[in-house]
Amino acid sequence: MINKRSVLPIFLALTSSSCFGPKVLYNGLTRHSYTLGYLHDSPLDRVAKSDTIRINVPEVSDSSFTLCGTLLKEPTHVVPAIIYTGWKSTYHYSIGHNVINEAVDVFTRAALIDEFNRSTSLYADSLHHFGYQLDITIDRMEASGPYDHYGEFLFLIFWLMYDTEDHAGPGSAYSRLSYVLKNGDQVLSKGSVENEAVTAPLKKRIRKLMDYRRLYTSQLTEALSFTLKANIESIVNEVNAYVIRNPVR
Amino acid sequence: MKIPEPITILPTETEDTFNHGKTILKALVRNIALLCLVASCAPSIYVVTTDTTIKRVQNQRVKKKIIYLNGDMGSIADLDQLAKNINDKIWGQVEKNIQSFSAADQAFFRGVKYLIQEKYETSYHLLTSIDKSLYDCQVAVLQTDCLYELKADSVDFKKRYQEAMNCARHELTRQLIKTRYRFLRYDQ
Repeated sequence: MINKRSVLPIFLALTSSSCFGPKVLYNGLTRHSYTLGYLHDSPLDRVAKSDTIRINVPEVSDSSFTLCGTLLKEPTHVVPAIIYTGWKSTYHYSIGHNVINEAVDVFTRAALIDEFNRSTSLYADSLHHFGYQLDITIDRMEASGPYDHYGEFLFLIFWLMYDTEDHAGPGSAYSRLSYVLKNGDQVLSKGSVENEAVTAPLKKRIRKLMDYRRLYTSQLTEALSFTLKANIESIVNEVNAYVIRNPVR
Repeated sequence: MKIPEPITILPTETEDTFNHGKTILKALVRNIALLCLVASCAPSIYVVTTDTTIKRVQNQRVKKKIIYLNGDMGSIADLDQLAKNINDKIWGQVEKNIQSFSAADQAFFRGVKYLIQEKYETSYHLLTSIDKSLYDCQVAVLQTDCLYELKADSVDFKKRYQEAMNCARHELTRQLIKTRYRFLRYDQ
């Protein structure tokens, strides 16, 4: 029998689970945004720059990386019983532009310019009209992972207990960039690079739920940043190797 | 291609490592643990390490901002003792420990001490009195740490950590700087 004094905790317990809806979760995950920025760890090449290269603003051809990301809910599993109830809700979260501080195309160009200038014999900027040109297309980028919410509810007539636990990850990020190196209208070299990063699963109790969700989004953004960094370094190395093999006469 | 890079950022001291399942019983355990944690002194996010402890600290699940005392600075035993006293906040003993070191070393150790004591301005001023590139550029790193703790809005922390990264010669120091930047990414 449920008496009046039991109503409040039951209500709290039930609302703590039922309020855990996609919208609440989505708001928690997207409350903060993060930088794609990273520290360059390639060796500094201090030799005089012999050639110039103009880096054009990359084209983002992947429309699946949306402005707001996505949070897809999978069927919820519930174990109902008189004194015990357990449930598990599963979501799949993909980050979007709204949790990234920078515009991805502008960021990628700036990171390419930095990388060229620190580790190659080319002087890169976005202004030169002579010399090499590099066109970049971001073919694909994504960072996503599962988000599970577990809960238990135990009613012992005079004593009510419940607990919930969230479990995020492991997530993964992937990006693929293609490039075309030109001199005027002449295509000198082209190629594509791709990279994937996986994140360790996060586990944390509900006491710091907002921090936990922040951490998950931060982690996914960092993973995406990691793949972009690796791809940018690959492109710079490939272009630099081409220029060294084929010096302009 | 898979890159098994562990990228979990764990910037707080309260991360638990309980597995899922039997959550009600675990809640009780957790609450007791929480009481113990609150009752005790909160540990610093900064930790001083030596060759003896660096690997263990680096592999800990809860990430810290590591300050590394290189074996070139003195005997391993002396550095171990000094690091332990700083981490345990036994400040009187720390002052005794550092007497046998050079003036620059003493300034560095005191800078570390004040940083952990959360006297960031004092630490910063002391650290600016020594060459930034000393201790594999950790002086530059600690100066930036102080400014970061002081929430100096006008400072470009990423640029400063990048400069320290460019200056550092050892991979270990570079890893410490990367971890600093991960904290920065999370806090921004």
